This record gives sequence, structure tokens and C-alpha cells, in this order.
Amino acid sequence: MLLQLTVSGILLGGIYALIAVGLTLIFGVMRIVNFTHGDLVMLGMYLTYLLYKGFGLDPYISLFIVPLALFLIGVLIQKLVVQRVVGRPHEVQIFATVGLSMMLSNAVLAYFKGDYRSVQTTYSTDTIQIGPVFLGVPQIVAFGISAVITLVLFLFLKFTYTGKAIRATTQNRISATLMGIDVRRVYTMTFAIGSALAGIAAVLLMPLYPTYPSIGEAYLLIAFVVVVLGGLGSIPGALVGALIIGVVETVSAYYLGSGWKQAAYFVIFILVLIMRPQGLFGQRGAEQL
Amino acid sequence: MLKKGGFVLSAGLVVLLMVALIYQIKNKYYLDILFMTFFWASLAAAWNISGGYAGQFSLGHAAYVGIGAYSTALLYINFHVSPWIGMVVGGLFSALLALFIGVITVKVRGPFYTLITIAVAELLYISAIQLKELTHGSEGVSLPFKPGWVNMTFRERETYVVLALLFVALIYFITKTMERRRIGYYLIAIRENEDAARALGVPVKEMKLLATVLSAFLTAVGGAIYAMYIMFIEPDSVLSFAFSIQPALMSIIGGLGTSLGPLIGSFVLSPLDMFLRESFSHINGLNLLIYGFLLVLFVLFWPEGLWPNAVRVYRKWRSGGVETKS
Repeated sequence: MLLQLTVSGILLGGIYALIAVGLTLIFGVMRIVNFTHGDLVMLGMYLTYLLYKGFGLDPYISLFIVPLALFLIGVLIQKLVVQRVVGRPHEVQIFATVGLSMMLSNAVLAYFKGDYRSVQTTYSTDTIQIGPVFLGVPQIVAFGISAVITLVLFLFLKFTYTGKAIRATTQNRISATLMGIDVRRVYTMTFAIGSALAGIAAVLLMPLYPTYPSIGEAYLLIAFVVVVLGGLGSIPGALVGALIIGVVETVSAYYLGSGWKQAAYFVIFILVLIMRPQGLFGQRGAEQL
Repeated sequence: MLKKGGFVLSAGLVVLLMVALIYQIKNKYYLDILFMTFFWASLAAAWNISGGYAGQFSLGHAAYVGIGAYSTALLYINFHVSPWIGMVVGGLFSALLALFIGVITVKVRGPFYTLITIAVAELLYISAIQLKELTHGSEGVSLPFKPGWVNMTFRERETYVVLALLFVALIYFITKTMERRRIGYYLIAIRENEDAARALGVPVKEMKLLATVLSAFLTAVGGAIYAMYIMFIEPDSVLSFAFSIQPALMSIIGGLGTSLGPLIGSFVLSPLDMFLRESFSHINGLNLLIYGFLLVLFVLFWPEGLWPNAVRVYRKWRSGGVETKS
């Protein structure tokens, strides 16, 4: 049973990794804690739902549309709000993104009402057996796609000009500016990429879980727990953290009941911040920004 | 500037006048709006002590509201403890929790502090749903209607409104007193520049703890008053995220770190909230959508809030168009 739970947890963690990597990327580059990140996932889930309901599009076809839409939404949010709060006091950064989060989730609530919406695919409940372990097909697909996307992101950051510019800005904003990097453009790209990653995660989640307007809060908190555990601003940290939190979630849901599963990772979150605030892979002092 | 005696006297007169006015209102709906306005003003003013003055941006004050409401309600129905005592007990529990959060967050700042407070409030919400033997879970706790001062239960809605008003006045008085003493200067110094304040010998850690503990205590008392007013509590009604976000929102829109700001924030937003709920009840979330919009608008363009801006305009007008620094 423990093996089954661990494997399921790792598969789930793959999706969390996508959300968390976006959050940590945005933090690393802009030094902004983005409280709207969960709502971007929520928007992506609703878009997937709408495409399915309106045009009968399978979620895996939406995979080519929703992240693109989220990319554009990310550009918009960055230009309208986030750009204006870079480098400003904490309260401005926190409450600008919190306010935006309230707007997004309540706009969706006003339009769709609070009901749960889900996409029922023919493969939603398909499973395959590997040895003693049963695995859901959508879970495996989600994990596979997450792994590929993460690899692509890694290569993008390593080898393309924009990727190098993003990494340079993370290391030192002022030096990057002096080297002729258009920091403003880097910010926009980073925020948009982070949003698109949230969009991919949203599409992958949709065959598995229903969505509702305030679901963003849950994913925001998961992503934060992952990022803090892995070390703020660290992408490898986010990956490892996501897998750990995925396993913690499935194991605690089984042994403590699903009502308590969130409690388990909040406790981890608080413990990490007390005992090792820089996380597993983070730089010391990042939490004090 | 008024002398201290003059300030107490004039504030007392304003409160007395308002009490007299409250008893003139017969419409139950208006009284409800007034109660909620005072109630939110008290939560906002309590939040402002830690969020506005000490720069500890908590988004977990729902935890304190919940502790205050649950302690009062559970002590009352299980052990017949008067709510007046229950609310002090709830206040002390909240103060203890705030002390715990304060001690574990000594090294973290800004958004991380905010995140920990959210996590703690969520933990309490989950516990309130899951610990059914203690809290009755999602079924909630109904309070018996036995009117009397000892039970803090009244036939007339006016009495609750007066109670809430006196509570707001008390917090305002505490804030005002704090502002004029060393602690007020310490806190503002910490908010403006923590490292500089520490270098100048301000006991940063102790001051932050003091502010959050006081804020938590007062918020819990507010939660207790609210529980006695609605007479029914459940996790979604007293531990909801709204109790964390709205006090912060009202303080910011009214004027962060000013004694009158949170009250003005509530006087503007609470009636608006009630109006939106009443007139657009078929559109869920419209009030919060507008709240979110106002919040973004204010922090981006008027981060000082309504009250400091109003003061500036007034000074400018008085000095004949010449801008003066406050």
C-alpha cells in the first residue's frame, strides 16, 4: 500500500512541480511573491472546461490552447499590475496581488456560480497495472508531460538568449541591466512563462479533479509549501519539493483522512520555515528579502 | 492639537452622541448595517495595530476571530460561563497563538510572515471542521437565546450596536494612546526601516510581539461579540478568509498605520458591502470583486489611503493652496 501511495504521490507531485516552478521563477527574477498564481491555475481549469463544454475539445487538445491563453493573460497582468509593484514596499506587493486574486476568483464566481465543474473523459478512470501498483492513465500522462515541459524549460533557460537573460536577472538585476539586458522584457517573459506553466498544470489537472472558483487558494498554498520546502527561487528545489509534497498528500490522505491532508503540508510548511527557512536548496537569507 | 483631556472629552462626547442617535433608529436593517460597520471597524482597527503600525502583514486574523467566537460559545453552552469571561479567555488563547506565531517568525519578513499566518488560519479552519467532538464540525454551534446582561444576550438590537460602538471606541483609544507614547514611535520606526530601527536601539522583536499579541487579543474579543450577535457559529462563518482579508483591506483603503484610517475604511466599505449584497444578491461574489478592484487601485495609486489624503487636502485648503508636509 505504501508503495502504491508513494507512486501516486510522485505522479501528483509532477503536476505540482509545474505550478511551483512558475511561482519560484517569478520570485527569483522579480522578487515578488505572486498571490495570484493559484488563480491562474483556476482560470486555466475553467478555460479547459469551457473548451470541452463549448467545442467538445479533449483536455489534451486544449493543451495547445490554454497555456497560450494563460501566457497572454500573464503578459496583461504583468503590464497592468505587477510591473508597477516591482521594487515597492512589501505591503504594496502583497496586497496588489491579493487584490487581483480576489478579483479573478470572484469574477469567476459571479459568472459560473460556486458549483463544481469537471470534465468527464473516457479515460478519466482508466488504470494500468505495473507489478503490484495500479496507476491512473491521466496521472501517468500528466506526469510524463510535466517531466517533458520541465526539461524543455530547463533547456530554454540554459541555452536560449531569453533564458540566459532570465538567469542573469535572477542573479543580479543591476548588473543585468548594465550588460544591456532589457530587464522589463525579462520580467514580462518570466511572468508570462510562469502563467503558461500554471496553464499546462491546469489542463493536466482537469481530467482528474473538478474545479470551483476558490480552488486557486488551495493550489497557491500547495505551490508555496513546495517552493518554501525546496528553497525560494530554486528550480531543482521546486521539483524535489513538489514530489515530496505529492507523496505527503497521498500518504496523509490515506492514513489521516482526506480532511486532514492539507493540515499535513501546512505543518511541514511551518516547520520548514522555523527550522530551515532557506529550504532544501535555497540560498540563506532569501526568505528575508 | 487638542490637549489629552480635551481629546478624551471630545471623543467621549462623540460616542455619547452616537449612542443617542442609535436609539433613534427603529429600522432593523439599518441597525444591522451599523452593527456590521462598527464590528468591521473594530477588526480593522485591531488588525491595524500589528499590520499598520508594526508592519506585520497578517492574512490570518480569521484564526483569532474564530478562537474568540468558539471559546466564548463553547464555554457558554458547555459550562455556562458568561460570555464576558469567555471573551477574555478567547482573547488570551488568541494572544498565546499570536505569541507562538511571533516567536517562530522572528527571522522571516514580508510575504513569508503573511504566508505563515495564512497557513495557521487554514490549520485552525481544518481543525474546526475535523474536531467534531469539540466544535461540532460543520454543523456549527447554536447559542441559546436567554436575554440578560450576564449572558451578553439582548432583545433589542440597539444594545449590540452600542456594544460594538464602545468596543471600536476602546480600540481607537488604545491606538491613540499608543501613538503618543514611546511604543508608537518604536513601531513606526520598525515599519519604516527595521534595520535602522534596530541599529538605533529599538527593541524590534519585543515591540512586534507586543503589537501582534495586543492585536490578536482585541480581534478575538471582536469575534466573541460577533458570535453573541449572530448566535450561531460554524467554521465557514467565523474562520473564513474574509475575516483575514477584510480588516486588512479596510485599513489599507482608509489609511494604514493611522488611528482613524481603519474606521474610515469600514465606514465606507461596510455599508457598500451590505448594499451590494442586498441589491445584487443574485450575483455571488460581486462585493468581493469590487473589494479586490479597490484594493488593487489603492495600493497602486494611493497607497497612503483615504484618511492621510483627506488630511493633506484639508491642510492645503487651509493654508491657501500651499502644500505642507505633515
